[in-house]
Amino acid sequence: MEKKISFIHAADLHLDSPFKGLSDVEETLFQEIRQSTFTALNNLVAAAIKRKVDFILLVGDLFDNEKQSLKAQISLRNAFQELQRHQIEVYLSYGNHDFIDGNIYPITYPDNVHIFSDEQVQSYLYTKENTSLAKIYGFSYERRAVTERKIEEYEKEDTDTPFHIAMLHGSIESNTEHDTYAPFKLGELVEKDMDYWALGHIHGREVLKEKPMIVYPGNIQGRNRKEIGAKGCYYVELSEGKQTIEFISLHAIEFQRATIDLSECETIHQVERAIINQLRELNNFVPQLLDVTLISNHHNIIEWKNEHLLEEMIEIINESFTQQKNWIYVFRCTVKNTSPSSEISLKGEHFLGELTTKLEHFSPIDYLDELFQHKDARKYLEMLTKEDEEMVKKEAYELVIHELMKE
Amino acid sequence: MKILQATIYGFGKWVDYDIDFSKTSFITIYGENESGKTTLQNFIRFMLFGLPPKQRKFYQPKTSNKMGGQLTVHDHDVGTYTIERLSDTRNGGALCFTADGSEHDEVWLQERLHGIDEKTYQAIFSFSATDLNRIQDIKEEDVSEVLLGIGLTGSTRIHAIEKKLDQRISDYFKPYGKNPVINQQLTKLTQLHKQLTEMKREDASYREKKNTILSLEEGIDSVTQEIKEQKKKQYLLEKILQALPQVEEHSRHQNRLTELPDTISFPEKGIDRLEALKDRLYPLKSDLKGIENSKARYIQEQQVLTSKNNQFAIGEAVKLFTDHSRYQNQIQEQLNIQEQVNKLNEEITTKLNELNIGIQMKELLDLHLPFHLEKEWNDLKNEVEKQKTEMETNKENKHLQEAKQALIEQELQDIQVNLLSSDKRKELEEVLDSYKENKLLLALQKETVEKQAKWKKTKRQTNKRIGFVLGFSVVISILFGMLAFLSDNLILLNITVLSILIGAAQWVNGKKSIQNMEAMLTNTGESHAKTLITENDRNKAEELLLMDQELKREQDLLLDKLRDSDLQLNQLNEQKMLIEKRDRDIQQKISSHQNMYSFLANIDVIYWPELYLSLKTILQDVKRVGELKMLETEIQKHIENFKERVSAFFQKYDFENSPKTLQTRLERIELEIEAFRVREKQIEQISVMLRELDKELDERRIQFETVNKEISLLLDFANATDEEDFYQKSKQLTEKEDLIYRCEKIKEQFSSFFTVEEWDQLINQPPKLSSIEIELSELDKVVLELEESLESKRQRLAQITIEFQRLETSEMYSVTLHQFQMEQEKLMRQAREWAIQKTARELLTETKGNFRDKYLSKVLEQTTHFFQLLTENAYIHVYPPAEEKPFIVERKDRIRFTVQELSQGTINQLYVSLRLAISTVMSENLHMPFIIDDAFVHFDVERNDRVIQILEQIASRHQILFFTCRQDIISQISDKNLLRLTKVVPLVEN
Repeated sequence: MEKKISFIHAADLHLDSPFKGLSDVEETLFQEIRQSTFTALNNLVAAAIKRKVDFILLVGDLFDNEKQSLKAQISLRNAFQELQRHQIEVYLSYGNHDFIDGNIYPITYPDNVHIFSDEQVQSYLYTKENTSLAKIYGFSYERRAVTERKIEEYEKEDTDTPFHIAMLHGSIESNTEHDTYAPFKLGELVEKDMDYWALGHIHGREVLKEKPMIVYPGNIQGRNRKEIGAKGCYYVELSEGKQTIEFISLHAIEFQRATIDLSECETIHQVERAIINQLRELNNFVPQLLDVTLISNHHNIIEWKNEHLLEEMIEIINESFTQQKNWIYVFRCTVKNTSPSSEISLKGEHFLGELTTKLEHFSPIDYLDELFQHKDARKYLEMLTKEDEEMVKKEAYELVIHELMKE
Repeated sequence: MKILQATIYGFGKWVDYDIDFSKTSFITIYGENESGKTTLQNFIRFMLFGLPPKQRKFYQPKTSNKMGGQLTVHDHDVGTYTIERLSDTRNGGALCFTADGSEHDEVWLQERLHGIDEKTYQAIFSFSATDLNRIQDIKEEDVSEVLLGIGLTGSTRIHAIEKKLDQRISDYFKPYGKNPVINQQLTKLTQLHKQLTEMKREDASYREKKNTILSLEEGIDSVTQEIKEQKKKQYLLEKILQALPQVEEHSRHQNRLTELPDTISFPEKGIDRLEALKDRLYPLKSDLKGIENSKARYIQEQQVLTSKNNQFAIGEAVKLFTDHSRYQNQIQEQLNIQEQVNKLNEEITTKLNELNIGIQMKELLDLHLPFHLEKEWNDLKNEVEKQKTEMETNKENKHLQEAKQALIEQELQDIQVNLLSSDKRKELEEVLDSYKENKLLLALQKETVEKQAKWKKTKRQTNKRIGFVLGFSVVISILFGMLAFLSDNLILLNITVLSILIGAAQWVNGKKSIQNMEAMLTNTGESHAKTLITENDRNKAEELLLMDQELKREQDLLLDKLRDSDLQLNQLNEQKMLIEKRDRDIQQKISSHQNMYSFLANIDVIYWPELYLSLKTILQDVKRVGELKMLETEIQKHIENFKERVSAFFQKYDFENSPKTLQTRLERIELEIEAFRVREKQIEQISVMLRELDKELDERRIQFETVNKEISLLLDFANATDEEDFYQKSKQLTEKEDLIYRCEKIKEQFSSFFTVEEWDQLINQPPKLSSIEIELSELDKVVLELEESLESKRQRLAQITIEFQRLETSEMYSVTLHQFQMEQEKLMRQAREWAIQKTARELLTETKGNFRDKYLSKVLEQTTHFFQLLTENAYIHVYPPAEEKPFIVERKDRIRFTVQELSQGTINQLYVSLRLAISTVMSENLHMPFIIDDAFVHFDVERNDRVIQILEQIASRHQILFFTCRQDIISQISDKNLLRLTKVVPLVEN
């Protein structure tokens, strides 16, 4: 009989971790958003059951120690129990967010859960009907950060077992976008001669290589405006000489971006209509959290923005679009004015020119300390990034220009 | 930039009109009032910057439906191009045609104009006469205002924006505020954070709860187990309780069994056999009883007789009977004695009467006269007689002596009268002493001799007297001594001794007085007289003295005699006292005898010896009477004794009809003795009969024993001590069999209830009902307590489980966490908004400062330059307003004036200079055409010239369109620079 296994590979569940960049959400949405990571987990369990997989690999960051909620672990346990009822094994390792030493809740998981209990790479043998089918390798983070190169510890053992799967929560050395933990080079993974590299840590889904399979499944639910699109896990089938993977989306709510051109709009009502039309065209299957960019070559858009008209309008639109089942919620709205008049050289020797010249060398940081270094506020505020700062400057400039030019 | 040509299709009063500005840079446009100068200016502005529809409509010509025109300008960068605007096309938007034939829109045009709008242009590049009045009031702020206003929109605007921004900023956030949104948000976040921490803590109790649950579950298990065990115990106890009556019965049976001997041997049909033997035994028994009864009767009879005999003291009765004759003799003897006594008593009474000393019979009995009494009474009688004589002698002597003494005393008294007084004698003696010393001595010696002779005579007399006394006393003593010897009387003897002693004492006394006298005499005699006296005197004195001496001598002699007499008298007195004393002693002796024997009181001592003898004989008779009486009493006692014995005998044996008299009693005793002898014979007969009965009894007994032996064989077999025991044994046997049967039955009954071990345990140590009940109630209590504890544990478990489940299912932390996150996001957003406002504000402020710093100095420099030119160096410096002060100018002579101090004309010049300066400075890079509308209307010709000169200077860099209505100015301007509106273009009146 052909030896064959099927499993689901997921990582970075970040259960019960709050979303970034959302505020002033009305109650039902709030609840739905809050539940989204759990819904995604339920979807994961459902998918596993539906596909009758042999096991599930969870490669770290199942929850966040820093914002650890008991609920996260309880629902994990419940999920595992559900899987146990369907004879699905779970292999899990902890990552930099759910590192072992930081866990304060003594939740006992059912017997079908196999946990890599320390930072030493270990292996579990998966057997089915008394046949050894797979060796699963992995390690867990005991501390917040594992910066050692763990890749060297992965050694294929017991070569009689047909399949060898390695779980690794970490990132490629060259990746500087994220914190680099347990760094590795792609080539090193290839050398290890595993059948499947189940990676975690990077929230963006990515198949780094197909032979062998080296996969980041991404997280199962987007939680900020950067984590857009479908989120989920990989369904993997391994048989001798054949490997297939299939993405299954699990997310409960989708983050999405939309750009709407308002150049043709002369009034705010036209803007509203334009946006509504655009949103109607989305025809989405899951609720959407929309990051909207409004583009216009007309100067009035700035005016609308500065008069908070856009803001109010978005609120109205949100109200109507959140009524539907697959709701749409514009959580962020940026304005881009492409009109040349806004770009006209105001560099003459008059005041506007002076303002423009000033802007280039203006650093608002010192002035902003008043709030950002305020004893209460600094606890809850993140410092502005360079990028943010530029944005602030730009918007401030636009504001001043707008005010000066106003009739 | 330079305006080359304006073509008006229609604008206000102007329709289809061309103006060429290309000839020179400084063009003066002359027109009278209402000539359309302002409209023309407006047209140019319209071309450059456009107009809102309302104003466009205002400038719609009445005569033409065209509104718009073209303006051809030269740009330094792109060369010449034409701007075209039509009111109804492109909404008044511009269309530009460049030399290369391409068309451009409004945006392009704005770019060409460097973004300057109409307002800015107006501010910088055009000014008119109406502006001039303002300069007086210009202060620092105003200058900035002007500057900024020229630059863009004016400081009030900026200020307004600043205020607006400040307002917004403070609406968002105040460092110490509460109400601004960010502050509020912070409060909210702090609260949420607190909640979150609390919930986290609550969640953290999860582990603790889990442990509690585990321990509670464990506790519940163990308690449940315990209850089970206790209940098991309880069940067993209840079973035991149920079985207890039977168990007790069983144990009673067992106890009974242990009391019964292990094996009981008993003959077969033992009871029946015993009964048969007993039937044989009964007749034998009755025979035995009959014999024994008659035997007992005889014995009793015999005993009665014996006891009767025993009761009677036969020996005593016989003795009494024999003593009867002695009793009669004693009676006779008693009578004889009584007769003798009576005779003697009569004799004594007679004798006593003879004596007649008052002594009675009675007293005699007690009177006792000792043997020496007779002698004593004799002595006493002698002494009394002797004393009597002595007393009389003494009395006589004393009488004599006293008479003698009285005679002497008479003589002495006579002499005393004749004696010299002592002084006289002394006087005389002194006379004589000296004279008759020797003679005196002789006389003295003589006298002494005489005295001694006299003394020898006295001495002899005295010796004689005392010898006599001594002799007398010795005689008396011998007399008395003899008398005492004869009468054996002590008193007489004493008198003898006394008289001797008195005699001796008298003698010794005499001797002593003799010696004393002798000593005295030998000592006297030596005296001396030395006084020498005349013969006469001496004789006289001698005579007198001799006489006196004679007398004296006589006196002395008498005195001696008196002394002797006294001595004699004393001796006699002493003697008398001695006698009296002796008399008292004797009297005392007498009275002591009288006390002892009262009858002596009336009898003189002299008769006592005779009395003694008489009493003696009487006393002997009394004694005889006593002896006889004693004898009689003795006999009387014997008689009484016998009588008592008889009556005691009768008392003791208390016969019936006991006789009272002695005689009858004695007769009765005789009778009783007879009866005693008869009974003795009867007793003998009964004894014989008894011996026969005993023989018969023995026979019967042997038969009886045989049967009895057979019975005891049966009893022995059964180990019975007696018949009762035998029956008992038989009963025991049946009982034992019964008990064993019953025990087995009970055991069988409970065999299904208990295991063999339990039953054995129960039987061996049967518990007490009370202890089981106590144990059961204890168990009940224990079970109850356990159940309570179980219940409380269960409740607690349920409670904790609920809490635990609530924790597990609690969404609160999650909700708060997400809320917190969202509120934080909101804060971020607000912070960002604030940051924008804040940045805008600061940007504006900084720019404003920069702007002023940068342009003010330049403007003032230029102003000074123009002002100098206009005033022909009357003023050399212009200072900008500072704080509250307006512009200050400095005159040539260095005196400074504020604006207010200047004349209106100078003020106007200053303002023009300022405006021109601003325009030039501002347009350094822009090169926009200046439009000046009659700004110099108040200037005189001279000043106008200078202005025009300045303008010409400026015109080298900027195109200047100078509108004026003054003829006088035109004259100063060359024709080529002049445009006359009225003359060139026909005016079309509306």
